[in-house]
Amino acid sequence: MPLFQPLYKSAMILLAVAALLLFDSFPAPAQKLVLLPMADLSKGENGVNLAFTKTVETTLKQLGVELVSSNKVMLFMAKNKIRSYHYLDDFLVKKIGTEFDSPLVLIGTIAELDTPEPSIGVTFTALDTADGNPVWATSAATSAREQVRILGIGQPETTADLARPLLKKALAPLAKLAHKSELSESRDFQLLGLQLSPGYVKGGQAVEGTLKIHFLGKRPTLIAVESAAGKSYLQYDRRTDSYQGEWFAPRKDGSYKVDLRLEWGRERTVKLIKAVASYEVINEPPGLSMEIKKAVKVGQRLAFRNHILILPRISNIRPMAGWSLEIKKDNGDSVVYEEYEGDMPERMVWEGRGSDGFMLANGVYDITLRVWDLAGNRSADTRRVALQASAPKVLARITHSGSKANLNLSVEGHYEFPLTSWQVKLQSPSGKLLVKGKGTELPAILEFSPPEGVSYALVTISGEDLLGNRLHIRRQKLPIIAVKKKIKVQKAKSWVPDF
Amino acid sequence: MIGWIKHCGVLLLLLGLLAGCAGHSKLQTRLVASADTNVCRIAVMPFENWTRNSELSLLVSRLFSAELVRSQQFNLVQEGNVGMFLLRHRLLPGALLYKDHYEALNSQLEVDAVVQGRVVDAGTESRYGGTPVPYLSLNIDLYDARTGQLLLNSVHQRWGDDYRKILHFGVVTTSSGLIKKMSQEIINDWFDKGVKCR
Repeated sequence: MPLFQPLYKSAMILLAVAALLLFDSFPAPAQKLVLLPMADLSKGENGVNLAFTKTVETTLKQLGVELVSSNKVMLFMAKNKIRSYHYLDDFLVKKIGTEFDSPLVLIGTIAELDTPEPSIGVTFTALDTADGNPVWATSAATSAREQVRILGIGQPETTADLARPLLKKALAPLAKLAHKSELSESRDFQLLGLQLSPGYVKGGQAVEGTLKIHFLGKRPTLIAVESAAGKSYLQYDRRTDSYQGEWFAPRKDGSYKVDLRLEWGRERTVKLIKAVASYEVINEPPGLSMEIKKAVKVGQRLAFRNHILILPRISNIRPMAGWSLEIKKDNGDSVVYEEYEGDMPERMVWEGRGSDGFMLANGVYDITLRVWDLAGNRSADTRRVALQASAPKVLARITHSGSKANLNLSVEGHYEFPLTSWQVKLQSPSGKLLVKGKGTELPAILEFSPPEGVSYALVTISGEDLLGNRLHIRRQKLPIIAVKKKIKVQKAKSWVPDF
Repeated sequence: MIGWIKHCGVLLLLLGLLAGCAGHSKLQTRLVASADTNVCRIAVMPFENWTRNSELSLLVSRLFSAELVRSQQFNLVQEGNVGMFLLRHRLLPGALLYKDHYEALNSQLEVDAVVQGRVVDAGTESRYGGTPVPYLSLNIDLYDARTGQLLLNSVHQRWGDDYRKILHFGVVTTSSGLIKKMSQEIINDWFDKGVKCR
């Protein structure tokens, strides 16, 4: 028995060593990798190449990598609305990991394929499902021209000939990548956005927040937003699958950042996400003033005949919501009203036309500019201008009494500014000058001797007003009207007997 | 002895000729004087595209990102996270980023630096009367997400036959191959200039 004791011990040790060796010689459990469909940029920005994905799948299987069924992957992508890699963020990568119990997600892009000769370019990135970060990447490219063989033996002729060795070489290191499957943290979330409405408010006004967020595991017990206004909890709305809440903005002007606070369970595990959104408090109205250019200053008044430039000046720059321009007659009737969203133009031109596009009558008009910012603060400025687009009309009339006649000149109609100078010439139909004159003020009377047997005369008047509007009446026919002498009937002072 | 010297002379002449064939690198990286070069985590924004090939910007940003991961010098933010960030902040690819955006990138994605690049020119060209080779011009800015300041700017231009070693060997005939090589050169240059994770 003592002889067998050491033998028994040695046998046990040998058995243990053999078992260890045997265990070591077993291949490590194969990696269960999720291969997403290959994006194909040769087919456009959103192109997908399922045939090439199959080739990659075959290559990976040859390299000993276990893959999750492509049907399951496609189903998952459809369910989670994954159409491209643009929005495949760490949340979705972790979700894939949890769903398929896989440590790695492989995404690939075909950079080029057969352009214009057999060629191929690919890039692969492996994402760790524990944190969603890229852990491995490779890119490879080749073409038939780059693979010239001696005497053309084994020369690749098609893209498939190029693809097989290229993929094997590129993906070989991935097969060696050892990652152990780790269950992702159940408190992961995907923040889609916190929308604040309105983004610009007056102090004390209500701000409404709508939070879109997805959770991988358990939803938090409470979700709150924190800003200078304090903490306010959001309510879950099942219909819109979002969290909503309202709070009042602080009184003081400024930009306020909003943090998000997620609270789980009784132990109050808190996750604070800083500066998710922001809103601005604006209490002061925009400092608006208006300057009128190209107008003539007449005393205290601004006047124009052709056009004016309206130059708005805003002293405190802030996001503008809209502005309006209104022009009113002095009796209060609105002749122009324009309203626009966004910023005000640097300058505006008014040619004295109404909203209908027709020229307005001479007169006094009030121009009002109004502006309002995104918080609803309003300010306005008004300027009064006089419009005189044409010179005052002159009425000419000839009166005749006896051997003398008078040419009467007077102004008719409404005008703001009189003629500053005028000239007149009266001629007989045969062209003989009857009278000529000039002056600065109207009305005026010019005396002349009318020729015999002529019933009319031709008058030519020219003149200019203060704003430069010119008057020109050429050879206007004027009848020579004889003025009947009024016979004064003398009243008898008293009854006197005829005899 | 004389024969040996002659052989050596011919060999040197050949080497000289071949060296002459090799293209010169046009890579220029300018580092800002006060740059904090300790960069660990990088986000690559979608590249701007100044060419007529609409997919090229996406291709360059994907290959550049892949090379950043492959370099094992930096920790990269996944493309989807950048996409979600742009979506949340209602930013279009190539949009100008303000200081607030960099702050948000720094706090939300924990990035140290942000790559903003543009594909200036690309195409295929037949140089020296040979077969057409691809060419590419890149302009890449690296911004410090902690301060919002520019860290460095790299300008790079290459033709596929710049990589010719001898005869047709080494010539890069694919656009993606050229992008890969240029990305590697740019990343290595950054590393040489001290941009690294310490």
